Amino acid sequence: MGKRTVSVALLALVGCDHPRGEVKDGRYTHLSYRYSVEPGPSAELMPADWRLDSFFKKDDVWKEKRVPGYETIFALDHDGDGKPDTW
Amino acid sequence: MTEPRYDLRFVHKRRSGEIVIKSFPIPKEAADVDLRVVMQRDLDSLAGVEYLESSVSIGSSSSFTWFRGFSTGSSIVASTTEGKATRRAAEILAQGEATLAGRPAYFVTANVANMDQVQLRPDKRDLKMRVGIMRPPFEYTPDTYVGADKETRAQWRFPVLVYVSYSSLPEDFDLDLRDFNDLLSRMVIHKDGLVAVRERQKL
Repeated sequence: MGKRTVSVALLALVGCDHPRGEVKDGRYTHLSYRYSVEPGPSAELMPADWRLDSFFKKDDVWKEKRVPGYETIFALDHDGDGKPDTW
Repeated sequence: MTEPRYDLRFVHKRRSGEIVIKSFPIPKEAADVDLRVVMQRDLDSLAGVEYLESSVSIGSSSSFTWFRGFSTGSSIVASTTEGKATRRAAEILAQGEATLAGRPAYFVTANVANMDQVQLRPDKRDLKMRVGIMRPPFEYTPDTYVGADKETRAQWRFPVLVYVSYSSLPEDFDLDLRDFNDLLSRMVIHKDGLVAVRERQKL
C-alpha cells in the first residue's frame, strides 16, 4: 500500500460528514466555501413566518440535518473516463 | 461523496413557500458554459421525468444529466433509480441576467405544471417559482483530498454552482417574494475567506 493510498484512507476517515454550514447569531456561514448570509432586520436569517428546515436545534445549537432526504450523493469522475470514482 | 442537499432550506409556516440555497459541484467542462444555457437545460429537464431520490454523477465527459430537474424542489436529480414519474413543464414568465452576492447570475420566473393535470384542466398550475444560478469563485474538493498533496488536490477540484429558488402556490407567490429577495440581498462572498465574518462576530 503506497504512502498516498494510506494518507487518502486516513483523510477519508477523518473527513466523513463534516458539517458544511453553521447557523449562529442569525448568520449562516458555509464552512467550506467563502460565503455567508448575514442576519436580517430581525437579527435572524428570516422573519418569524419561516421555519429553518435544513437544520435542527440541539442543546440550543443549530445542527445540519444529515439524514435521507437532506443529503445528495455525488459520484465524482475526476479523470474523465466516464466511471464514477470510488475510494 | 455524500453532501448536504441544501445549504439552507426554509419552509413557510402557514403558506406554501419554500426557499432553497444550495451550492454543488459541476463537471469540469461545464465551468465556462453560459448560465443562460445551464438554466435552459434545467428548464428543459422539467419536461422530462422527476425522480424522487437524488444521486448525481459529476463527470467530465458527456452531458448535463447532473442538472436534471435541479429546480424541482427536490434538489438535484440525475439517477434513474426509484423513479416515480411526474411529467412537468415550465412556462417561463420572465428571465434575464442579474447579480447575486456581487456576481453575475441568471434568474428565471416560471409557472410549473404537472402535465397529467393539465390534460384535465388546461389552466392548472402547480407552482410558481423564481430560480437563480450563480457561478461563485470557489471550488469543491472532496474531504478525502482536502489534505492531500497539491498535485492530487488539483485533480480533484470541481467548479461549483450556487442555486437559489423560491417556489410557492401561484396564488401565494407574490406574498412572500419579498422575503426571498431580502434573503438574497444578504448573501456575501468573502474575498479573504471567512475571517472578516468571524472578526465581526467578536464585536
